[in-house]
Amino acid sequence: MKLLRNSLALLCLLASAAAAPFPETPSNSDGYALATPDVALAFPRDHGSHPNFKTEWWYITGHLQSEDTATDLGFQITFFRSADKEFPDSPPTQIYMAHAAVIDKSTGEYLHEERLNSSDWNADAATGQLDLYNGNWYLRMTNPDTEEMKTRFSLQKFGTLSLALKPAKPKTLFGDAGFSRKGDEPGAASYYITFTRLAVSGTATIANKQIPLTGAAWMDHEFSSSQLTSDQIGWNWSSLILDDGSELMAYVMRRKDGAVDPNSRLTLIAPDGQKSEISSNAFSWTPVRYWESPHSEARYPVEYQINWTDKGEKRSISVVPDTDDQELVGSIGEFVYWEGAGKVLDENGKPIGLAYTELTGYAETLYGKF
Amino acid sequence: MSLTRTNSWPLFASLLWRFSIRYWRRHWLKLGLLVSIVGLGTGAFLAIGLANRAATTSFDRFAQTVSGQSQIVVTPSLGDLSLADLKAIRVALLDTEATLVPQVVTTTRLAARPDIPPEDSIFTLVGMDLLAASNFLMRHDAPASFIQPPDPDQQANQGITQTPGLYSQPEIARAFDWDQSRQVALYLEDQIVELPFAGELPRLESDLQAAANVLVIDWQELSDLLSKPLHADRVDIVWTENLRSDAATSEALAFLESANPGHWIVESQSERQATGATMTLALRMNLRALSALSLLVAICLVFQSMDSAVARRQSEVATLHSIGVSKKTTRLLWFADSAFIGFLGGGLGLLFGHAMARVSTQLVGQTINTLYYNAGETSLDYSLSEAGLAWLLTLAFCTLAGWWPARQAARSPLVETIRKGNHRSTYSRKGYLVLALAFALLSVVAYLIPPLRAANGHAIPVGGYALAITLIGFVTCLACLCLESVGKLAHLLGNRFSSLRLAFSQFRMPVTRHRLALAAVALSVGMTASMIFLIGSFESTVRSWIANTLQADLFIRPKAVSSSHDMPTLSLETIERLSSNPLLNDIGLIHTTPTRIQNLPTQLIGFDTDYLHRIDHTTWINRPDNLLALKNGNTAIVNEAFASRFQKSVGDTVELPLPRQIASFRIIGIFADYGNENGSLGIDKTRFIALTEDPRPRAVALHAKDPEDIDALARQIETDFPGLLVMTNRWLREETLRIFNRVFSITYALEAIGLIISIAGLGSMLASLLIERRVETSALKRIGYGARGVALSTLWEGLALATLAICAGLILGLLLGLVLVFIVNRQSFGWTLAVEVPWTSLATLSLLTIAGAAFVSYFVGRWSANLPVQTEE
Repeated sequence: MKLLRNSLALLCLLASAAAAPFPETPSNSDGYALATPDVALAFPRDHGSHPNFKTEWWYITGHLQSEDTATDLGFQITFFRSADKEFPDSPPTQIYMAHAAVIDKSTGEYLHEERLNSSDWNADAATGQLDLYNGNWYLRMTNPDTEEMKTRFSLQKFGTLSLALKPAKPKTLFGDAGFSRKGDEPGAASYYITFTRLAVSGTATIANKQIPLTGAAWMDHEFSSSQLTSDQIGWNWSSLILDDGSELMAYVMRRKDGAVDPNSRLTLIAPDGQKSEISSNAFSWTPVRYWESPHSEARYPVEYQINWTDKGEKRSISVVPDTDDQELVGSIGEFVYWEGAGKVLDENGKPIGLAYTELTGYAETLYGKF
Repeated sequence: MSLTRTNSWPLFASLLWRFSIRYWRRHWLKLGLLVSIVGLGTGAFLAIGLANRAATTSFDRFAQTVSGQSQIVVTPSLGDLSLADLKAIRVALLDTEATLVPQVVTTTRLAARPDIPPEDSIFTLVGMDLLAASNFLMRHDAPASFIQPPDPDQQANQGITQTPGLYSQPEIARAFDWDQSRQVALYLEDQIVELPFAGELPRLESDLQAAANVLVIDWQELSDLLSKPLHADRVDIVWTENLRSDAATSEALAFLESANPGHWIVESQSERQATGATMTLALRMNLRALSALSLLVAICLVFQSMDSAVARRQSEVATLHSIGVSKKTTRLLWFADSAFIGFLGGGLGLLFGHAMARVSTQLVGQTINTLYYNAGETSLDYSLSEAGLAWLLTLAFCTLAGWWPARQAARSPLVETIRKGNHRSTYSRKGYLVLALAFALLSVVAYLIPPLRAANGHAIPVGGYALAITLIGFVTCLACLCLESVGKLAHLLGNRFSSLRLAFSQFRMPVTRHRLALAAVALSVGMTASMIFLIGSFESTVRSWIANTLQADLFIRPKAVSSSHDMPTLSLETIERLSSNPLLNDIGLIHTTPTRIQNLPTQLIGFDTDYLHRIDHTTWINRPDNLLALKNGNTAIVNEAFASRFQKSVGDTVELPLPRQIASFRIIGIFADYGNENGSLGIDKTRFIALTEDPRPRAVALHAKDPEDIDALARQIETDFPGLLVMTNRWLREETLRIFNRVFSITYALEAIGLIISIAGLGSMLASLLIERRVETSALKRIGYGARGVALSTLWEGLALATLAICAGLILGLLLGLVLVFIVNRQSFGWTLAVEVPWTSLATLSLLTIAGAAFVSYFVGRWSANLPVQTEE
């Protein structure tokens, strides 16, 4: 009976935390809320938008195949929210950007589109729940209990992807219960929530033909007001979905002088969902081959190796891209970065999983933008 | 007989060559005249068809400026679409590939450009979400958009920029010499605003439909200029060509209908076009009917010409019959002849129509701009279906016109056909009397036919149109009946006036062509007289209405207004400043906004009930028992057009759809209003403002304390408010009548064409008769008649016929005028008109017709007198 009472009390506590608004945190000099370590994230509230923070994104990358494997795709759909304050104490106005990309792994053809809309009518991100759209691209949580989601987006030269996303394992809160430090300066941190493995099913509509697809995806949701410090220019990010049921996430913060910031992290997620974090001095992210973009002239380390020691055992994997040219050069927004699908190979060169890699700050520094 | 029974097609082809084509080659001038006249009739018909089509397609064309052709349009039933509405529409269509283009739409006029004609200085100013539009443009690889990417040389945080100001089509920028260093001064609402020219409109390469007279601006900027919160007047929903399908449109319509909070008007593009078309339905139908007149008269001429050819070629027909050619073959030859004229005339008509359409499109567009909506510069597209219709109608009617003469030629007994000479009419006076009585009876039946309900809510007066046709038959039969009586007048002249006597003697046994020419001229005069009668009655009614309605000394509207349906407003600050003028005694405010009732476009008016009560300036059809009851907010007064269109009368209730509710109003009075055929629902201004959330009026009436002060007051307001149009009572009356006359300019043009064709027909008829009478003419010349005498005789013959036709035409015009005033107009527009006979205009019409007939008859007579006796016809 006591157990029942305690359980009910805990449920009530969780429910009230989820229903309550996001707690107020200290602000920076521009009036934006800062990520602090003492905040307990609550769901489904914190799947939704946090408009007092300067920047927020919901990032899904994944791999899709048709049953006959004739269609083999990588995809990215990202919804960005950016707050803008005229004065530190004025209410923020929101600008929404979205990026979508598809790569046909069989041909190497890479297509991408972007959108930028104000919050007047054509874009929105709800607070308290995951429900966002930018034009007719959208992402919403269809079942808060199971945390199943749905996204739909289209590219003019490709077609439409309509996908159901079902968590294959519980969400991971990176860093300290979701508080992820990115630099030494106070406030150089974010709240970081991830679904490291989502079972995907849906359809691609290409030239009025519907193709059923299944696959796996990774979803990041991150919000902050100043991720980078003045000596940081960008980051390398790897999300690897391995065949053995584990996942790996590498977050390498790069400094102006080429050094790796000590706040970089490698996180391993075991098949049972347990995460283990490895600090920057215990792993390396080493470029193997560069590709120079004909669009931006940036040089990206598109092929790389990750080495680390796990329980005394040295591990090494390498990642090779499905195609080199997966650079997203926006004509509306100001971000140029490389976000590409690839394969994970073990020490013997044997494929052991699927990768998505993000390389930023190679065309220009991102300091001040995040 | 074997010639006719076997190998009939080679025989027919051979006969066609020898009988028809060789004939026309010898008489190419006559063929040319006939074909030209048929071409003129076809051209007039086609020109109006093309102008109507251009007017219909110009509706809403401004909305395609950036995003191209929209498939669905969402508008509010009243007021604006709020941002919440737009979000709801966006969310409703998330699972579609539709692009949404919300737009704020208003009319503007270039200021400080007196060198530009007023009609060229009017623009539709469209406020768009330029950020969303840029997404659309870039997604479709447009060469440019409204935003500029960040400058790499600038600070990292500079971000994207959007050039504020106006965007125009390249041709407009060139025409007005605008570049990015220029400020453009515009009349907007009641102000003059100066806006920077931002550049040429970026648009998709494939978009060739964009209207020229459109300026684009950011919607937030325009909303600010209009002193309104960010809003939209409409949302266009667009699919790119590769994604466009009926299924996609239907799916989106279903999504929108299920999300509709009640006040969205959701229309597919075809429904939207139909809405625009219904607004001008009555005008276009009337123009179509008038243009058909020219074609009809031209067809009469073909009939007449074929009849003449039958008369002159009876011996040839007889010869053909004597060598065994069947009657069927000769009949076919005549059909082929008339079809040939129809073919050539119709073809020439396509060229004429194309040329005439430039003028007619401009005139119809001008009328639409003035009365219905700002169509801008209507663009003329040569429509194959319109051309095909005009050509096929001409071909079919010309072939039909040859039917009667062909029948006559084939049936005439051999001995009769060998005789050369005039082909006498086979109808007796009794026959015409019976026909006239039959038409009279049919007229009674037609009068009893009830009207059909049209798509625009008004009625289609099918009975009225049928009655007009039967009356035409009745009066022309009576005129034909009277024709032979003219011949009897020759006896009265004794031995005097030989030319006149000779002329009258021709009517003792009139030929069919006499009757056809009589019918053609009577028809033209009758139709023209009826329009003169209608326009005269209309003008008189409008004058009296204006005299009663326009009682204030000065009337104020924003200068941005371009048509009676524009909706620029006056700011409350302007009203406050105007009201405080010490020279004023009284001020009346008019609030109006477009709305939809029963899904039909109409107008909601907010009346200052106290002012309406104080200044008795309303022409009442049903005066309310207590006008002040309007102030309770649940009652309304409606105009006649509204009552007719929505079939409402005093005591009935009108329901107005609003967001999540329906407002009901009980009708307490009906007033006359000749400025609006789509109807007006008038309520008290307090309720109006509560419903529309817009307290700004559209027009103001000012009453001066002292009449002596009116001019000074007008000058003072013009100086203090450069964005306002100050109209004196006299100026407004004159302007209203000027617009009235401009509206009817296309009508006059069409009637002139009909009259010219009928006079040409009269000349052609006389020419053909004189050719047949050349032996008679030779005899006259031998006994001392000179060319002048023959010409005089022809002149009298033509004049006599024209006079009878004019008399018949005037009677016909009077009857048709009554039908137009009391049946067609009442049912089409719902307007009550007072009858007024414009004697001066009718006399002018008669004199012009007589003069035309005299001119043509005299010169045809002179020409015929100079023909050598032996000349073959």
